[in-house]
Amino acid sequence: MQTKTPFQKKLRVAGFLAFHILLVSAAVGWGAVRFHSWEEQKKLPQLRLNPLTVTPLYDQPKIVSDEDLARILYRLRPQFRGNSPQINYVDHALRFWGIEATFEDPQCISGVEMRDILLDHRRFGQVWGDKTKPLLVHNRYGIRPRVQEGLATSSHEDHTLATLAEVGTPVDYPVVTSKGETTLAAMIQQTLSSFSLNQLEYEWSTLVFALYLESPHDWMTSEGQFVNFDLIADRIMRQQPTKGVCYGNHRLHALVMLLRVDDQTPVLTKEGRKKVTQYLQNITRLLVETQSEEGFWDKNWDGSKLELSSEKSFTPRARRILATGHAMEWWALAPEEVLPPAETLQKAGHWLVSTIKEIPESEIKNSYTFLSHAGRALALWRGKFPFQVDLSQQGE
Amino acid sequence: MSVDSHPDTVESLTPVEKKRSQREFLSLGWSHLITCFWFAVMFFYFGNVHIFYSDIWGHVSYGDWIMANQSLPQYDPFLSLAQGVKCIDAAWLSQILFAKVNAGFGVRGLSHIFALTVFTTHVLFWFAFYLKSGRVGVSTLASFLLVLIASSRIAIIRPEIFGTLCVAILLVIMAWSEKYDTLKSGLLSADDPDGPQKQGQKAPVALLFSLYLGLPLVFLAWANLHGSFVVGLAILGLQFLGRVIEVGWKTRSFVQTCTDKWVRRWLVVTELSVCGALLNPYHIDLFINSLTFPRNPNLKDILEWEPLEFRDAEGIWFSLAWILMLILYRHSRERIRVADVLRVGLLSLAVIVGVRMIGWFSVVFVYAMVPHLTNVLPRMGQENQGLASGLPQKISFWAKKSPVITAFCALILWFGFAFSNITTPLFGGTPRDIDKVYSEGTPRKLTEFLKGHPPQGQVWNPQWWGDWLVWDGPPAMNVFMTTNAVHLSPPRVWKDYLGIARASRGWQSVAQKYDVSTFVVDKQKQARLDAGVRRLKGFNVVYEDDLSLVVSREPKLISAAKQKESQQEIKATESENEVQP
Repeated sequence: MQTKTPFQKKLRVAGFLAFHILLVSAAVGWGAVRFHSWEEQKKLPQLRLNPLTVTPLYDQPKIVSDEDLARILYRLRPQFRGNSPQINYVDHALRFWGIEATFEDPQCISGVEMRDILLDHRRFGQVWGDKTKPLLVHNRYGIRPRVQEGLATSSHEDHTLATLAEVGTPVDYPVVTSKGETTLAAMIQQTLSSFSLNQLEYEWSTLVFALYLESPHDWMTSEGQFVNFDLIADRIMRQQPTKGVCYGNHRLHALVMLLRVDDQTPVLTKEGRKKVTQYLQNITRLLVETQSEEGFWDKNWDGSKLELSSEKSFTPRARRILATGHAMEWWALAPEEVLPPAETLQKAGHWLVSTIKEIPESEIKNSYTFLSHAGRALALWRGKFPFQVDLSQQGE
Repeated sequence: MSVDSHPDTVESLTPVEKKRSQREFLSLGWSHLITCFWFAVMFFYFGNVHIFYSDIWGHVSYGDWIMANQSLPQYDPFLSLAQGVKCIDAAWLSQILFAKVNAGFGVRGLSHIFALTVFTTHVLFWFAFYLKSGRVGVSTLASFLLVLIASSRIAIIRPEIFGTLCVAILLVIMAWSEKYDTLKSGLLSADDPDGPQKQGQKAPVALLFSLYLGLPLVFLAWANLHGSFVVGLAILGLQFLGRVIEVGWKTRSFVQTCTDKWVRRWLVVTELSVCGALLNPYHIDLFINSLTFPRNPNLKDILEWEPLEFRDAEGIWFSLAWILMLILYRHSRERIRVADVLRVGLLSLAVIVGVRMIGWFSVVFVYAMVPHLTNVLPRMGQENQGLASGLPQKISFWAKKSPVITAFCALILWFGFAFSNITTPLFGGTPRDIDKVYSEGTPRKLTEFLKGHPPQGQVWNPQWWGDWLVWDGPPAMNVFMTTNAVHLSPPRVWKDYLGIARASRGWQSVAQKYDVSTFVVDKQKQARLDAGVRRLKGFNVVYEDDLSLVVSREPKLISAAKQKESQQEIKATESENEVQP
């Protein structure tokens, strides 16, 4: 009996312990499962292998003739061969000309060469030298190109990535950094992870997401905010029309791209699409009202008083090319319901053509970034990407 | 270290008390008088506390929203910039309560619910201390200490007051159970003179009901009233752990530890309380949210979530509390309970990490110190008497009792009761002026103006006025920040908010990013921004009073302001003409 009692007691203790351990484990397990599902919500959305493409919709010879288009594009060819080509010129030129572009002019670099400078650190090192900081750097989210840190860096947040998306670069395209090789997906995931709805520049990020994301579901940003394209569109439409980079035109371009992507795969809700369309229609109305007699717009394209106190670097011609070229570019891709009357487009097109024809070479070099938008706009209005325009006759 | 540290009598009996006559039965002592005075002061004070202008109004608005929508908000319903950030509304029941009280009794009702809740809480704390010490004076001293240490946190009306009420109930039940929380006979040390007495003590059924049913119900309510229920669970869990360590240390037997009655009781009670707390709309997610909440990056910029600064008031009180604890531990002959050490240690760490926890620290600290105060204070008196040995023993001043003191006690309690604002409805007096119910900094004139001229676009406002603007401003006004939703705001928005609030370099372009069309500025606290917004191009001053300034670029507001200005000019001219002979 003496040995039996302790055993029974021990058994009771074991039973007691087992029950409570089970109970506590169940609670902890439940908590762990829920916590895991919280973490799962932070999972980034799936990427499609090849980005969606947005093609030109119109062919309007009255805006620009074949001959003028070829002349303009020839003037704007990317003559960046040699050492230290400005990276914002390279990525603008790649977006302008596309990956397929090749040139007879030995001073010009091809689309493939431009892409290599942006995505291969070895090639970047060849043109910028070993002492220059790499363009592609690692941060806690992944790999990103440096932005606004000098001539060897990009000029807009996610502009480089958006360019690569617009020219059709697949997500498994190899990317070589100073630390090794990865794929373009790592860069897209970096921008997805670090994205904030209220970051300063978000237009190009929007474009990257619209072209690369596989599913239109909401996703959670690193700030714990669920976002979708409706919310991003609201964010784009939040600011006053001319506020933002390039007098607010990148925002309008991003909205047009959302509409065009939505045509291919639904990314906006019905209400969201309606809001975007109405917003763009209002902007178009405003632009029609404020177009100058000559056909251009300036930085005050919303009809406000021209404020030049903060405008130090741009000449009046540069400002006008910037405002007019960008507007013509997003209109060239926009659905018909947001387009202005043909007369407005023609006046703007003629002004762009005549101005770019006359612009001195030195000014082209200084204003290449926004001239690239104007050149691309003119090509798109002829239903083509710039690389599809025959320039063979121009050198003669 | 001992497992049996509790005095088994409520009031120690002196020879004088044994000869208590009918007269003495009606006699109260100085300690009672001080206690009555203390409660009267508290009742009066809590009844006169102003309703602060910050998050309470957010909670009332949430309560209204919940009742109107018959569901809990998935996102913050008032902060468009926090759209998409999921919200776990840990205080939903408090919010409904506030909204109901406000709907039924108005803002004075809110003031009364605050006063009654906080006063009841302090009465319960006092009762818990009395159960532990058996002495009125020590309990009152402990209550005073608690208020002193937590002084920065007791006068704010918010859902936390219900959490504090719950912890007070918890402490009462714990203090009650600690009277029976002793070892079984076989484990008592042979030289313990109280052993045979304790052996016979069985926990009464009412206590067992309180433990097994009362506490889980308290936690059920607590989890739905305020996120602080996790602190309560920690207090309870550490009671269990403390008991395990004490029994394990004493018996050196795993089996005996596991079979100890109170080890099992505290374990089961903790588990049942967890189950009670799980009965909330978010279930275990609420636990995860409460535990991960302090990690929110935005809270780093909120004063009450900042780490303890030893130069601040909280830091000084915290340090003094620790010095007092060391002195008491040095001189006390009362045994130190492991659970108390664990609780004070955990809450001390919590205070060091976030000063907001000082309120919870003060509760567990004073609860732990009460037995030692009870032990040390009477001996201090005895030691003084010992110096005058040889003289005949006299009843000390503090031990004297008299019916006159009883009468004074009644009078003081009556004064405290009669002069408090809470009792005005009972006696039919003039209710407190509504201006005195609101705290001084409440921008009531501002919201009057805004209701007449509602801004259409994004409004930038100080976060401490955000909840008030949502509550009392025009419907659907697009505020930038509220105190109630700082944790729901995306960190970038919060940083941008701070940048504008401090008028940091480039704040104008940050405001442009959000298309801010109207600025509301607290003139006293934001002098730099005040000067900055007045210089903003395209913006006009549309409203100004002693507290606030509104500048806007919205045409409707500007024209309204101009109209008002011209009306004032006409009036001024008219009055000038009247004066002229």
